[in-house]
Amino acid sequence: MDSRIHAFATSGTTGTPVVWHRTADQIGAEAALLAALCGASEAGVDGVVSFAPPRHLYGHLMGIAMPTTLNVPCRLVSLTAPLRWAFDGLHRPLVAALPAAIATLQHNLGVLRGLDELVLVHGSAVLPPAARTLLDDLGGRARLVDLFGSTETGLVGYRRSEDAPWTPAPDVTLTAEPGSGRLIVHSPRIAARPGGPDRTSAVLEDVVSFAPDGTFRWLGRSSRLLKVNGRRLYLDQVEAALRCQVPGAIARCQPAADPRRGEWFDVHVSAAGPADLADIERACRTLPAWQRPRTVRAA
Amino acid sequence: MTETHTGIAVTDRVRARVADLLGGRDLDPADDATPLADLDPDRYDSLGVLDCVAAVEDEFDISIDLVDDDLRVTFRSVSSISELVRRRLADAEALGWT
Repeated sequence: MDSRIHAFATSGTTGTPVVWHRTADQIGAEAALLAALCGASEAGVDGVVSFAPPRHLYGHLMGIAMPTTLNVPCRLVSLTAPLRWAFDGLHRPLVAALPAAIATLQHNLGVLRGLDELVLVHGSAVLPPAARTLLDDLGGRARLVDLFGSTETGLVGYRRSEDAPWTPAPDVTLTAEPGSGRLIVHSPRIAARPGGPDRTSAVLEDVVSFAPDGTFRWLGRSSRLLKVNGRRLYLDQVEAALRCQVPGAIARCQPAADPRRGEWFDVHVSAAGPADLADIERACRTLPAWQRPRTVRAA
Repeated sequence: MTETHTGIAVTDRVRARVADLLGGRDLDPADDATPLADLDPDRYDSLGVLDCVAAVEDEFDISIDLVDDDLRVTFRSVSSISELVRRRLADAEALGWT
């Protein structure tokens, strides 16, 4: 493989992981773009603390490529890392978070309140409500940069408030697929499949609506895909697994916001008596833990 | 307290699931208190911790709260995970959920 090619796989939970190749130039361009959008130079960012594993694109960009671009140190931390060490000597860090990391940060308010400023970057699907609590607790000391993208496309858009619409990244052109509303991304940073041709556009499973000023709102996903802490979970496949175990039962997985995971789901059991509900509950318990619903209820 | 709730049984099961997550390596019981991030920092990264949470939930049929159960403390080592599991199983037994 060309040494200038970086390979990243999507995090397949129910789906099969897909490998994407990105060139060093694409990685470098995206790192520079992220640094600018995060206002890293203006804010005087003096280091990066990243919860995102660098084997995935988001983690590589935030934990390796962007710190290199900014010439600042990076500390790759796990959810169990002592954060006092992670922030030691830093005054104006940028934190690359996953949804689950928000809780870890909340447990370390004492450490975070000792910082001059913190740029909280979130880049994995739906921002958990706990992030708002964290930002409020840190007052004007912290600001949010929320990123929208995928392993296939890289960065697509960004926003600085969870209520704001998404602003397209400056080097992309976005349109909606007629009929389905799926997001079409035209970008110089589209990844290629191994051995496949270079590409300049991609159609995502995300369904969006555009405002006249070019910003967009995320409406959901056409394929009923969830990203739970950055991992892909296909609800259709969960439903199929439940149907195999309880033939005849009508169980529908319904996405639901979750304060800690960002995205999660409930199972609604239709036209079923109590025994069927109990059967579905039992079937859910046989699923791998990360595929289990938040609740099972009668529709 | 049933056999599966005894300290040794719980710790053995936790160690086995963690060993599996860390690529099938052998984990020495003498390292039970060692932070897992020190034993294998590449695999026990943030997503590795979440895998471990899911594996423990699956193994013992318990739920872990990512906030209240403060993963920094509870999922730091085989010993700390085992301690959390024992508490959860004892609570469930006391409440008649088992």
